[in-house]
Amino acid sequence: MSKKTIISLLFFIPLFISLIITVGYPLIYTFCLSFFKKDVTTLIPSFYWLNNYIGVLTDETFYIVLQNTLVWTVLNLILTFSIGFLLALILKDENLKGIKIFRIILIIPWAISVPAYMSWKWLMNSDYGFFNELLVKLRLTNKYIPWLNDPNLVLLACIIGNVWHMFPYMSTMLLAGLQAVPPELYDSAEIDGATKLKKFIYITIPQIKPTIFVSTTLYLIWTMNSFVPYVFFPGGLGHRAETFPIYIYKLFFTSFNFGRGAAAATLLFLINLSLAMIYMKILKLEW
Amino acid sequence: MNTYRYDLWKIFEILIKYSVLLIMSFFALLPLFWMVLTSIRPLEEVFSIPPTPFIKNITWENYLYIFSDNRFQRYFLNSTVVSLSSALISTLIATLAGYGFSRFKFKNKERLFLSVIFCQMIPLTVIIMPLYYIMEQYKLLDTYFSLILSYFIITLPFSTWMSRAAFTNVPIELEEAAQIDGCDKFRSILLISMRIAAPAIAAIFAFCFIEAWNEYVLAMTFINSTSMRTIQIGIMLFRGEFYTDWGKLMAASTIASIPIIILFIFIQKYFVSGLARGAIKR
Repeated sequence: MSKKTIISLLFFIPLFISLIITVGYPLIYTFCLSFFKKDVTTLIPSFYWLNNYIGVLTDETFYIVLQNTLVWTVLNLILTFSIGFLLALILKDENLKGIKIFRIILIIPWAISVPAYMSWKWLMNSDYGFFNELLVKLRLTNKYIPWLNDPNLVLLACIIGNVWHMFPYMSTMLLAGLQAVPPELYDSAEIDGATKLKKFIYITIPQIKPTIFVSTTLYLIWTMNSFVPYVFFPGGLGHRAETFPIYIYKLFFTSFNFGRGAAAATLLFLINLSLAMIYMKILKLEW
Repeated sequence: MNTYRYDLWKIFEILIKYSVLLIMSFFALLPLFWMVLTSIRPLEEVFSIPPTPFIKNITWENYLYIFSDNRFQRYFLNSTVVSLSSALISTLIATLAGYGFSRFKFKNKERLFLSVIFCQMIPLTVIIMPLYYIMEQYKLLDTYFSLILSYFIITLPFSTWMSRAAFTNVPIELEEAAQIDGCDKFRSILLISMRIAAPAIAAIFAFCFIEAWNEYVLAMTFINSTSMRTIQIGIMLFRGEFYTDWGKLMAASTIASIPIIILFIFIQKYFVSGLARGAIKR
């Protein structure tokens, strides 16, 4: 190797060593562990074929958790996307006075997580919660809603918190996409006498379609792996606020069933892998 | 007549836009507003029924408590040490690699870069158990180092991406010109490219700092003892003796949030353009 190659390698070595230690090696380890029996009772892990996977797939809680994860992911996506898209369309309007200030205000929730979730918990308190008081004042309900106590509502409470944290991400990404649409397209459509709605359907949507796909896929990956319900309810509340990553985490660190946890983690990884593949496809980042 | 109707429609549209903006701003600021409000109220006002946003008395008692409580002092110290060192090391590594990715030509470069981006999409839960073993084996549990090391996962991929973009924006001709003028390779990188990319590198540092400061999954896994907790975990597990003291909790939350929000507002331009660049075009 020439001196030049060695010097160039020096630029990459720190990055790759760090990523191999923190990501590469653990990833392979988890995959291998998923085929072994390893829990608190076993001293030496023994080969367990696919029994860990069978264990996960025959676990009743797994299906409750899967259902929660589906509700969690889909509701988050729908809410975050609609709010984000609507805001991006409005924030694009440079003619509105004070639009720069609104752009800054509406990005703030993205900056903080745990402290804000605690504040949401306090806002949703069933006796002293101001959020409830607000809903009553706005005549949306006539009595306080027990967001954090009613098993049917706990996941919704987490979703409100998460949408609050993530809508700035969506609006910012979509705004950047909207701003990248060449203005000439709108100008020429205007000459042809196109209405606002037509311009939106035939220019805006096709132009920002790649941005929409990329930002929603990334969002799906982040949301599916989110620990937000855990921050809201570290205790667990049965399984009502438990999503897939939390289920895995509990298999590892509460039931100490490492083999089965690894199997569940591998399943989650495969779901994420397919999403990531779509992401890379859209970006046209071929291997 | 026609223009008159057009104007009415225009005004209506502007009204709609402003009301959406105002409603969403209210939603965005509500938890922060309530956090600050709760933290400066006396206890009996915190637990008033019905809850009211109108404040009668202001007290700094909660802040005095948080600042003098040695647990919270420790949490803030822990978070600061971990976030600063992890941001510093991550920025260094990412700057080096980003420079390499933008300047050097070699086989499979794109593939290598993609595998770095790919690391960002691997769920923490998938790798957390083996990481725990590693930490246990090398007696790293309950140390700053365990967090500094594991925060690489969340900071490195994106900051490498940002730094590659930053150096790609610096024309290589500038470096070459400096070398013709008698600068050696190393000095030309340091004096020309680094200097031009400096704002972006500062943004990377801030990004890593924010990510590390806000992280809680790894922090709650690798840290067992109370004295090593970061502020996020301190807040998450804060419990009073008989009931949750929301005034104190919200004071701690406010202190943990305000610097981050200010930092974030300063860097959001770079941060957003980095993200958007990845989403819109290559």
